[in-house]
Amino acid sequence: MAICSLVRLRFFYVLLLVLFILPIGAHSSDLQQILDSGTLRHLGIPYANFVTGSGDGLDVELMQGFAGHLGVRYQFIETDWQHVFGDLTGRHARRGEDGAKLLDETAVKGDVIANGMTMLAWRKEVVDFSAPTFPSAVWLIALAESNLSPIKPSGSLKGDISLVKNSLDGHSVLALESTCLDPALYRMSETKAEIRLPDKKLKLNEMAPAILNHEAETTLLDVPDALIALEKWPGQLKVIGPISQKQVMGAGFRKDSVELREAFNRYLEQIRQDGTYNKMVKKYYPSVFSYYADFFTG
Amino acid sequence: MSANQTTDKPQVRFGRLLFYAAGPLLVAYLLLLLGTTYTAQQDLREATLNELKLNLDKRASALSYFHTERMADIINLTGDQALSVYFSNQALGMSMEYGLRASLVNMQKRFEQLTTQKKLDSAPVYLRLMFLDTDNNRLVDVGRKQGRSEHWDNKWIDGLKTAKHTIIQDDDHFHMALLVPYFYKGNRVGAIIAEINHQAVFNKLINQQDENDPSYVLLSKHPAVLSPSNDGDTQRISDTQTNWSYPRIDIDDVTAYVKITVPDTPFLLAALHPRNKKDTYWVESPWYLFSLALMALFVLFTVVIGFRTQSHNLVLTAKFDASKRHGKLLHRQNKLLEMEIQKRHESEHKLAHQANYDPLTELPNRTLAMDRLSQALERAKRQDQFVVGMFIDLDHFKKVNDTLGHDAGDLLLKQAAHRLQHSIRSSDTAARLGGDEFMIILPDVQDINTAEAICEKIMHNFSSPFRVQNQEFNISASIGIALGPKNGADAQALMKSADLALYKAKEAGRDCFRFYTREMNRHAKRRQAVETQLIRAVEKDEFHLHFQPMIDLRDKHIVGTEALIRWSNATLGEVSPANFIPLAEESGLILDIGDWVIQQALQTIVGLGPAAAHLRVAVNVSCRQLLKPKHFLSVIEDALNTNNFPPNQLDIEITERLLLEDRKEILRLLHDLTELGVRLVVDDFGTGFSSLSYLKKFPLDVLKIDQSFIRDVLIDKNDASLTKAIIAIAHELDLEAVGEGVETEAQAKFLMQAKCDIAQGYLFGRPADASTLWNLLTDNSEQKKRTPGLV
Repeated sequence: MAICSLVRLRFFYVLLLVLFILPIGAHSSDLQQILDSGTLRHLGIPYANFVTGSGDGLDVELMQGFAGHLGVRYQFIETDWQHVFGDLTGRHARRGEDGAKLLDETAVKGDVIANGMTMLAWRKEVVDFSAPTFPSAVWLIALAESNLSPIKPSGSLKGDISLVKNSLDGHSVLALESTCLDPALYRMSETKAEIRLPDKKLKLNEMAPAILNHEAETTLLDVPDALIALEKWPGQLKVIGPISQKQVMGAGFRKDSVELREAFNRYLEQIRQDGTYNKMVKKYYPSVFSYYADFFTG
Repeated sequence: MSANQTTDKPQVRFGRLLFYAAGPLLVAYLLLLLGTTYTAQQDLREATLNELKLNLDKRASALSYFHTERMADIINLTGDQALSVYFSNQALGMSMEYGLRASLVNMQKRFEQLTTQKKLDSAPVYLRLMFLDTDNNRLVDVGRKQGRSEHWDNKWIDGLKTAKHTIIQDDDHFHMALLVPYFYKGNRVGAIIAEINHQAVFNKLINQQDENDPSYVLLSKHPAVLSPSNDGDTQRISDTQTNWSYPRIDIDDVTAYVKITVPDTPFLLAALHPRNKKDTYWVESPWYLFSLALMALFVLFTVVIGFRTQSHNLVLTAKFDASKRHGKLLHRQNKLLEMEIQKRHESEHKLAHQANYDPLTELPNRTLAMDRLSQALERAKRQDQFVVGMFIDLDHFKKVNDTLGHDAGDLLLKQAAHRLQHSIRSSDTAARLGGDEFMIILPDVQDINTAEAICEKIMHNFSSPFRVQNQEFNISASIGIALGPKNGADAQALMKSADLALYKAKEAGRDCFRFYTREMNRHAKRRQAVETQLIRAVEKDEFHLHFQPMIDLRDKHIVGTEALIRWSNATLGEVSPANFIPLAEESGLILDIGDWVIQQALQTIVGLGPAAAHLRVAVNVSCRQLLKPKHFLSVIEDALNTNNFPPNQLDIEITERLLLEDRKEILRLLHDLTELGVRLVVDDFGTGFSSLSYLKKFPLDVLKIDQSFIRDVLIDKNDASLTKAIIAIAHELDLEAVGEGVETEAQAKFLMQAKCDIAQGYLFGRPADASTLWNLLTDNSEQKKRTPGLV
């Protein structure tokens, strides 16, 4: 009787292997490869408090937690906006006229991008995003002495965006192509503002210091970065109003990394449920809860 | 009476004089006492006030320092960048939706940090921390309690220009608070309101350490008085109860003696003394002094009254002393009387003890034992239970008395009594009846096994040897047991039954116990009857003799005969010698009977004439006969002489046991008999403690082999060998061998082959009267060649 039960049990395990392990093998560069290699390679661009550049940040902690969850070693690989997609997929990409434009091939360096990357339409053509990890939007930030006045909220986001864009006549706006601050994304050309793209390669978190350095009167800035800038330079900057609709950020995966992405989504859901994720967010963005309470409590 | 009065008068006079001298002194002393007490009261009051002041100073300083620190906390908070950023962004026109809320969150964070960090022990210092702007908006509100009424508004900060301590009224509650205005670019844009945890402050800094300390209240001009209550809030005490300018205030049942300003605050701190709890209150009060004065008067009054009473009582005291002396005398005489009564009681008790107890063993004596047995029997009859009576006799005790004397015997009896007492239960009685006889009473016995168990214990306790005068004696006990009331309705009857059972125990070889049976009684009765008849039998000449022939195996001649006594009684019929000889021995009748047998045997044989002239006559004698050697010797001599019987034809048959007694007088008697020419025969040889040594020691002539050997001589090799051996020994010692109990020719032939000299038995002739013997003799002479049977 006992032997019979043992045989049945073994059969059950074999069945499980056939049903679950074999399909995993179809995604050859997926989760199994990472488990085999024993390392999760995190591609990140120092940006706001997502990747501070000092070895920490919200997305750094998030990916470290994910590596721990998988039982593999964590490795951070710094990159920049020009190379970040090539480092993940093996082929560089940027925004084209009608969506993404694929460029030269290059060596794959990482397994996942996570640095508060906004989920934009053209980016979704290049990579698959995880479930949203952070809410965002793009605001227009101006120097305190600017004669641009902050809008009085109309009660409608669309109306508020119009109020901002309409007030830009004759004012200079700093923007950054190929990022979430790309002026084309928000049809900034339709305003009468003077769009200034920086001569040198700027990082996102260098936008606020740039206008403080009078490189422009205003700048586009995503909300997390704007909150940090307001704290860093109190009284020197002011928020005029919104430029974009609500956006979300997420981690980017290769298109064929289905298993890895799903594993990350499961992990993210788990830490959102047990409160770990909110603790991480509070550590780096304490004021974000007062803006996007729904995102973090939902 | 008159004499007493005359002697008492000087005492009275002296007492009065003493009083007149002591009275003023006492008054002066009391006045001094009152004065001293008054001064001490004043000092004590002053010292108490000083102590209170010191305590107040200490607490007021602590409180002041605390409030100064809190003020510093809040002023520091107003300098925090988060506040300036918020108002700066607000001034820039930023909206809450776009950027301003972040600044507010930072502000909230700073407020929360302050409330979390500042603790007094484990309690928070700030119960609530709020930023109220000039539009009455609570920008920040930390620590707000749910359900608490909200009356906090900007009326508290109207016109507020500098930080201050205040009391905020919220319904019926009062809260100690700090109000600190906040200015942005020179304009007052709001204020921070901080509610202090008043209760925690009180507990930590002000409250008394133990119940002897005074209690404190904190006073404020508006509202009038604040004191901590159980729910942690402050209470208002009406203005009418205080007098702000007067150093002493009365509030309900407490009195505040001292109050002091708390530096840098608008508060006063007052120390309160509960009137009913203060230890020194009574000592300090004027009533105390008044009480002392009253007490002094009372003492004086008591002294006067006491003196008067004393002088009246002097005579009475003298009488009382005389009466007391008489009383003492009487008491002494009573004591002597009591001692005398005690002595007599002891004497009576001793006599009673002597009457009921055996002086040697201290056991109850026969009287007490029989009394207890009677009582136990009565109780047993009522309760349908048994009483066990045991009659105990020490086996061979006589030997100790004979060997070491009576003193040693007494010592052994004491030891035996001791062992008996340790064999029985506490409810049982062990008694000494006399000599070596003891009695044990087991009352309330339900099971016969109890009696058996105690007997076993007694026998076990007697199994170890007794040590008397450095010699060891193995003394066992024989026990007869009777159960009352079944074996005896009264004590006498029961002990008689036990005595019969004891007899049986002895008969069974001693060192054992026997229960009384009805059969014993029948035997006893029969024995008594036999004994009675036996006494008369000698007088009535009821005995007669039978003779059994003894044959010389070499020529088959009748060479002798054994005379055997027979008793025919009209009532008892033919009584076997086995039944009456032991009785005769016990009763001593054996002496008379033995004498008769010797005389009669010789007389009868002589009476048979020449045919029996050659016959030897064997006569059995008892130990008791030989123990009177002179008498026995004279009887033998008399019988020989009277009948003119040749001594060498008279065989005296004695038992082996007699020889074992090893007594000098018996040895001498046997030598005397031998000298007389009488032959000595050892009867039933081989059955007792056969010892070859006595065969040499005593002047013996014949060994009579016991018939038990002869009976099985043909079927038992051992018996055959033993018989041959005995014959050989007899011949070696130059003794004649006689085989008894020969019943068959084969047995006769065996003896003949073994060279046995003489044979006796049914084969040659049963014991019969003298005429039958004569017939045998005459037949034998005629048919002397017929062998072997003669009958």
